Amino acid sequence: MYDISEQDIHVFVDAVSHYFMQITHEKAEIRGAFLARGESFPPTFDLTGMIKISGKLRGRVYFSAPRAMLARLLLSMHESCLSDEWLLDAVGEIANTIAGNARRHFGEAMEISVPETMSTPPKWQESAVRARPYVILVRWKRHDASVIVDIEPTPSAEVQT
Amino acid sequence: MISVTTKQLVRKYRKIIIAVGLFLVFDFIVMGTNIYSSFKISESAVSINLSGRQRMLSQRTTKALLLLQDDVRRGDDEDVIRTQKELKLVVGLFDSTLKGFSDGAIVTGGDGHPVELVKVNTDVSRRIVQEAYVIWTPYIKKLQPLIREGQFSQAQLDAAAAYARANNLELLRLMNDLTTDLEKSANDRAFWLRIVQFAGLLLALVNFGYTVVVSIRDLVTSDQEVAKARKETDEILATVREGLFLLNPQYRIGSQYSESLSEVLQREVHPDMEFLPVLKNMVPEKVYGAASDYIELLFGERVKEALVASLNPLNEVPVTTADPNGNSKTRYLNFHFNRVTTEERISHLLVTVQDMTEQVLLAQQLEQAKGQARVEVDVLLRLLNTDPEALRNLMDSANRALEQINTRLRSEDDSQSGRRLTVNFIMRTLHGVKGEAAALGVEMLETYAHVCEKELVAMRDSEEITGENLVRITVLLEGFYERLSSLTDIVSRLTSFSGRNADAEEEDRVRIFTGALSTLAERIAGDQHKKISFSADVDDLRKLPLRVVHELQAIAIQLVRNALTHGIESSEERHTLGKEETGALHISCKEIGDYRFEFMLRDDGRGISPARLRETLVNSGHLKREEANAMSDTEIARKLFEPGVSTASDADRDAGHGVGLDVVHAKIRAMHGQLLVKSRTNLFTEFHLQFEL
Repeated sequence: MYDISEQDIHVFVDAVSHYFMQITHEKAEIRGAFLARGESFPPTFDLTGMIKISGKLRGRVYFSAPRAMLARLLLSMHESCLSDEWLLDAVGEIANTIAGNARRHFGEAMEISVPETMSTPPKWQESAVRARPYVILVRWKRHDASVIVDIEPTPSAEVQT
Repeated sequence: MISVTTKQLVRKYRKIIIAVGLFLVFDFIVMGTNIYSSFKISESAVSINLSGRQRMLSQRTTKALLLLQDDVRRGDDEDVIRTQKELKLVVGLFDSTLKGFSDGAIVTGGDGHPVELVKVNTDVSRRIVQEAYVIWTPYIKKLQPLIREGQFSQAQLDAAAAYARANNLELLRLMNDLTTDLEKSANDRAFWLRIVQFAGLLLALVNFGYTVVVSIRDLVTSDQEVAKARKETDEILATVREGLFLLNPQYRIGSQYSESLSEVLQREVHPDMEFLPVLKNMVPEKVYGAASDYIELLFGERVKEALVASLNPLNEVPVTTADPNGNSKTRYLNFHFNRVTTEERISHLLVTVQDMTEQVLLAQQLEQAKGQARVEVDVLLRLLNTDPEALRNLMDSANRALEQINTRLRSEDDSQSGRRLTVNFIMRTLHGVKGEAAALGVEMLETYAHVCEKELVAMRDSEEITGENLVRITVLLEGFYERLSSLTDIVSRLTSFSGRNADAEEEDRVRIFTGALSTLAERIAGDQHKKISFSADVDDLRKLPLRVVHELQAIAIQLVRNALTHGIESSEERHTLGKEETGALHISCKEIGDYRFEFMLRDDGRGISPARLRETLVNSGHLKREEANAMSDTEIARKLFEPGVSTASDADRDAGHGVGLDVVHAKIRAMHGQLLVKSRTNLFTEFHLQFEL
């Protein structure tokens, strides 16, 4: 049985790390990782960006962060407006970077949606494809955020070639 | 092989060589004609000069004759003699010159020196000379008496004078005509010479023009070919996915290399860059050493390329490079070297670098998948002979362990000490699962737990446990869950196939307990080529709750493993010590009071030697020599229950990671039990576990 590899997971985590490095010259460190088991949205943070993936792999990748972290990010970009709208833009931008990295890594084997952003915990269980999605906690300037990788290889019968 | 031979050079410059050859031929022809003509012109000048002199001599002869008549009439003898001399001179010159014109001869030139006079060669001149002879022959006969020494008669003089008067003009005309004809002949020759020179010059010019045109055309064609070749090379280098470059004997990268080289090597590349430092940063020291030796070998003329190809240490070599985020990544690269020879000497190595990461990972996945399929079949066969209840217990227990691990991973403590505790906890927990799986012969879980354990040991022993390590553990954990889920699937299929209902099965925990431990003991003894006799007296297990039986089983598994690996000696060693060749392993479980039980495991092996243990602890760096010496034997023995302590020299799946007794210790603590260890060197070791319900 082929499953996604550690390298595949790193594609998403590195995108976040890279984003913070580019914008603030301080990368987001990996703090820990675990498997999400039948709970509500794993580590609940305030705002979430999400991309949907289809093709050879299917599922969703989430980036979720607290308001304080996103506000700090905007400040380091010399933005003074810290309304929810702007914070959602920031989380969407990070999800977009994740999508870009995924496009580069997986090539044409995967279709990646435009990022969606949300300010309430997503109802992820309804759309979960993995029994236990990967949760990777990242930390930037003492703020924790999470990358949730819930993708799996699409069963071959469903892949349109 | 690149080699330019003389033949190829001649073929390449054929046209230019022919043109230069023709130029030289034309030059020689014109030069030869010039030399020949100048010689002929010189001859003609002598002839023209002398024929002009003949005109003058004919007149001087007539004049001398008339003067002689006058001298004789006047009777002046001195004048007669002087005039006779003059007459003799001019007649001699005229006659010899005329002979020269007729037959060719050496005659006296205008300056008194002898010159070669060639005979006339045109019809007109020959006729004139003949006509001159017609006049001159009688004339010279009449003149002979006058120029001879001695007296001549008046009649002879008069006859000669009369002949002169009669023929002087005719002879003058003939000599005049001769001069004119010789001049014409010289002019004709000069004209041809000009024609030849002009033609030669013209041909030389045409040849020069041809050479210039051919050379320019060849140069233009050659430039176009070079430009085309360059463009094609550039296109290839821009398109090819492999990293391509030429390595010179100074180990520097050439001026042309493929665009993808930087990407494949994951670093900036510039012409004339040193290659070995690049390699050194990417591969382990040992591989680097072997690679630089190999490259040196390839530049050596005496070694055959094909023979040393198998020595290339850079096939699918794992390299560590940093991505733009500064995270180090392992990729697999192939470096292929081909010699480039010029004129039979090795001038460069053509190096091809391929990123094989995808292929290597795919191959690993394939191998893994194959291994898994093999394991699944193996599992199926083993499970057919295994008690379903025992399997269910194992799966429950493994599931609980994985849940505990995952919960631990979620812990908020991300300090180094916190992470280290987490890794130790995970190792202990997995080791427990591994033991239980081994006891039931479920190799699928045992092997995977062993693989995980090896990675965890590396993490535990490294200086820093990173976030990436935790991601890796999570991936391993998910792998465990997947295997467990496969196993559950297999067991449920098996149960339905055999028609047995695990729940309905009568619970015979004693049989399961002893069966599992006996299987494990025999398997390990077989692996280590030891002989073992296993006995059990555990009927009181029936008085214990199932949960406690499972805990005891987990403890017993570690102790059996420990006894077989460290306690029971090999048959040879036992024989030397005067013991039975077959080692004895006994377990018992007894109720020793109200709700008090004692679980005991005894082996008749080499016992715990505090001296040997002390030495091991010092050598492995767990204790300093002074600390070890200061500790009592009991304190030293207690160290056996700390994480990371092992007395096995090599780690295998049964011992060596220093986790087993750590698990025992953790479980006993959880049961609030007490452990007593009794041992005599070379006689026995006993573990007594006492606990209350």
